[in-house]
Order: sequence, then C-alpha cells, then structure tokens
Amino acid sequence: MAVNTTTTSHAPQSSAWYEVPVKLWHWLTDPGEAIREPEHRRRARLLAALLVLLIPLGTFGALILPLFDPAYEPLEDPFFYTAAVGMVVLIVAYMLSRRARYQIGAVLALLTISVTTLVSVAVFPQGVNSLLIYLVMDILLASLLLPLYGTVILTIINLAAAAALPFFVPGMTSADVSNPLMFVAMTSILIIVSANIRQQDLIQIEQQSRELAEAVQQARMANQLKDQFLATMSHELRTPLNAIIGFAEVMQMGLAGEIPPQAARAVDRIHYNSERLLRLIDDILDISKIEAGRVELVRRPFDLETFMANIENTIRRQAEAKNLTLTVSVDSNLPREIVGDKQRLEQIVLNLASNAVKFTEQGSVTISTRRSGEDEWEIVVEDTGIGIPPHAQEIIFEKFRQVDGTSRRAYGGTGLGLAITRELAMLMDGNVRVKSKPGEGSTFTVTLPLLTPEKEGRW
Amino acid sequence: MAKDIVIVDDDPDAREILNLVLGTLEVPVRQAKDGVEALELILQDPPVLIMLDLSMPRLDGKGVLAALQANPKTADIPVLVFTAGTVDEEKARELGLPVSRIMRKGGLSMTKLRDAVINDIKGTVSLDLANL
Repeated sequence: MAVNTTTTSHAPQSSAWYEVPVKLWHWLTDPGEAIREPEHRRRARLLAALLVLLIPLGTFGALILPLFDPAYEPLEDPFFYTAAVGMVVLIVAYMLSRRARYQIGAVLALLTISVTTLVSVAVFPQGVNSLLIYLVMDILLASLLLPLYGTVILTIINLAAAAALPFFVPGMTSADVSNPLMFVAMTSILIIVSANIRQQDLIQIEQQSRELAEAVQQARMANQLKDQFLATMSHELRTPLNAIIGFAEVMQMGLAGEIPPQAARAVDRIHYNSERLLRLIDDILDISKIEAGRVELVRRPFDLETFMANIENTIRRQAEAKNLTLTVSVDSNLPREIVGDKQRLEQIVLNLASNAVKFTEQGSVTISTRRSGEDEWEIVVEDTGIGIPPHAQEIIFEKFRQVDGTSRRAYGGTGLGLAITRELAMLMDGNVRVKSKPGEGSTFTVTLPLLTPEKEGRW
Repeated sequence: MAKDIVIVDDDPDAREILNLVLGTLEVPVRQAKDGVEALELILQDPPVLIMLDLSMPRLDGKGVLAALQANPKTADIPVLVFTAGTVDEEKARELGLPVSRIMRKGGLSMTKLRDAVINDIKGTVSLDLANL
C-alpha cells in the first residue's frame, strides 16, 4: 500500500518512456465530462463514429484485401500505409470523441479522411472518379458533427485541395479532376443547404423546448403554491373548528359547570355538527388531493390478518351498538403478506364497512377477503340493510350524491366517502362494484391486483 | 422534578380546553405558546408529562421533540403529541414516536384523552396525590 502511493505520487517526475503510452491511453479513454453531454450530441457522435469506422473498409480496402487475395503483397502497396495510418488516426479520433473533446476528435477524423482520400488519388490517379466520392462522405459527416461554419470550411479545404491535385501529381490534368470535382461541389452544396435547414429547425426546437420547460416550471410552482395553500387552509379551518369541538366536549363532560338539559341538547348538536363539518373538510381535502394526482401510494408489505383484525376492532363497537352480527374472515388461499398502501386500503374498507353498519338496522355485516384469480384479490363488504335501488347504484359513487336528499340528513356522512373509496381503489389499479337489492342488502366488492413481497422481488 | 404537566399550543383556545380537561385531575399545569417557551419551561423544571402541538411559530413540535430527545434530562418525559392533520405511521416514524402517542385534534374524545393522561402520570403523580 505504502509503496504503491509513493510510486504513483512521484510518477510525474520520473515518467519513464514506457509509461507514456499507458498515460496517453488513460487520458484518451477517461470518460471525463462526456457524461454531461446532451443526448442529441451523443447520438450524433455515435452515428458518426460508426460511419467513420465503416469508411476505412472502403477507402482502405488494402487492409482487408490480404484476407481475400493471397497474391496481394500489402507491404509493397502504398495504400496499405495510408490505410494503416488512417485507421490509427480514426480510432484516436473516436476515442477523443468519447471524451468532452468530441469536436477535436471530429475535426481530426474528418481531416484524416480528406488527407487519405487526396493521398490515395495522388498515388492512384486513375481512381480519381471513385476516390473523390469519399470527399462527399467527409462533408456529409462534417454536417452531422460540426456546426455549419465548420462544414463550410471543410468543404472549401477539400475542394481547394482536390482542385490543386493536378499541380502536384505528375501526369494528371485539370480535365481529369474537373468532372468528379463538379460532382463533389454540387453534392456539398446540397449537404450544406440541408444542414442549414436542419440547424434552423434545431434552433427552433430548442427554443420551443426551452419555452416548454419554462411553462412546466411555472406550472410546477403554481402547483406547489396550491399545495401550500391547501395545507395552510386546512390548518386554518381546523384550528377554530377544533376549538368549537373541544369546548363542546368539555361542556358535555360537565367540566365547564352544570348546564340545563335544554342547553345540553344544544351543545350535543353543536358537537355533532362541528364534527360533521370537520369530516367534510377532511374529505374535501382528501378528494381534491386524489383528483389532482397528489396522493402517493406507498408499497409496503403488510400482514393481512392483522390488517383485518384492526378493521374488525374498529367496526365491532359500531356494529354492537346496533345489535348487528359482524363476521370478518380471511381467505386461506391468500398469502399472509400483501404489498400495498395499508393506510389507504384501511380507509377504503373502513369506509365501506361503516357505511354497511350505518345503513343496516338489523341482521349482519360481513367483511371477507377472497382470492379471485392468480393476480387478483377482493375485499367484500356485505350487509342486510336497506339496499340501493338500481337507478342509484352508479350515482352513489359520485360526489355529494346519496340515494336521495333525505337520506343524507337521516344517515349523516359527507357524501364523499364512496367517491373517495372508488378514486383510491382506482389509484391502486383496482375497482369497486356494488350489487344490491332494495330491502335485502348490498354487497360492495373491491377488486385489487395481488402484489406479494415475493412478486415484488425487492422487498 | 415538578409534578405538573406542560401544555404547549399556540392556540389559546386549545390550551384552555386541555386545561379544563386536566382541571378535574388536580394536577398543576404550566402553559407555553410556542416551542421556545416550552423548552424554557421544561428545562427549568422537568414536568411529568408534556402535551405538545405540532404546528407552532418560532419552534414547532418536531423541533421541541428533537431537543427533548437529545437532552438526557428530558429524554424520558412522556410526550403526547397533538396534530390538526392526519395521524399515520409515516408521521409517527418522522417524529420517532409510536402512533399511539400521537393524537388527532378534533377527532379525539376528551374522556379518552383524560384516560390517556391518567395512564401516563399515575406512576409519578398519584403517589404524590395520595401523600397529599
């Protein structure tokens, strides 16, 4: 360990010649800041890198020729050397492009294609027609990799260098290069024009996406303000209401002195109605939170039997007060542990169960669970109560709707319970159905996807 | 250790209601209207029970709880937390308290509250009351 640290810390001073390629390799292959590169750039670079590595197979066919032609002597072929140098430069350029220095790599790669193409023409003048095509490819790649001015500069360099070929290559006349050069020039213009259009489009898209991002940001802020407003409002509404409820209870307990019987009834009504108002506020806040998509369900495993036992404990007192038989059962085909939002599920079941107790004068309330499929389970709340007429079986799930206006007064409740129940069930990818016959009773069935710790894997 | 209860709430009505409920127990009560005041009172003379509101100016109930739990002198004092919001396990975890120690304002019955208080202080105060 100690030896290791000293060697590395002193390495810069005593860098032996053989360490240079290793360091160069590290410098070239270090991803560095490339990770922060925008997506479209990275994609363009990858595409270009692929093309760049494909081109040598054509331009520098000399490299693979030995594989197919045993008579070929690579060391006597000048193309083989340009091909080898070109390959090395292109690979270096590609590696540079993996780093943040992606444009240096691009320029290097493009110039390499230019130079090797021109050298190839110089060595093999008869091939000028087909070889100059690679200049077009070069400019096309430039239009994908570089800003527009870079493409224009490269085009000018390529055309000028190709036009100057007759002055340097013995036996080559300007008539030899004029036709391919014209072709290169025309296609280059097409490429530059289309690149210009694309660049304009890109600028426009970028502008639009910036505007969109701003709009999203504003909407998010407005949403946050609304959340905050809701939270503050709920607190401001509850504080005085809690005082009203608290004082009413204190009076009911006789802690504020004796009150005459008539006043006692008034205090009871104050207490009852203020509690109703509190529940209504809770429900309104709850449903507006659900509807705005601001309720986040948690997914945690919970014990199904404990869950049902808790529900039984809560409902038992209400049921016994009305002399109703309460039966709670758990299907043994269901796993012991189920993954879901226990708290919200409890809200659903308690809502249905206390409704069942509320609307049943005699008989029984049954709460049961059932495995209804491979990936599905149900919670069924059944009662022998007043039932719901067919025409009302859908509207009871709507906000502030009960079977008729009078029942709200007779049975209490905010008229939001079933709406919340259904919204929550749907949020859990489930649903709530009702089957009922007036005078015989109602059955509410909550269907839920069956998630178990095993299936969720990561629990 | 003072044989009294400290009530912490920024709403004077809420304090008065708790005061009335505790009045029948004949336990002395001190009141604080925010977290800073509460900590002063509690550190001066640790009570046998703290009834703590969550949302308060200057220092909220969460801050008071953290301060109490960090101080060995006060870490063992039972605390009943009151909130106007919802009571769930999430909130309990956040506060580092069992759910049973968190009570919802408005939704709770005063009889139940009194029973909870008696249960909390009977070990420390009833002896004292008996001696009186």
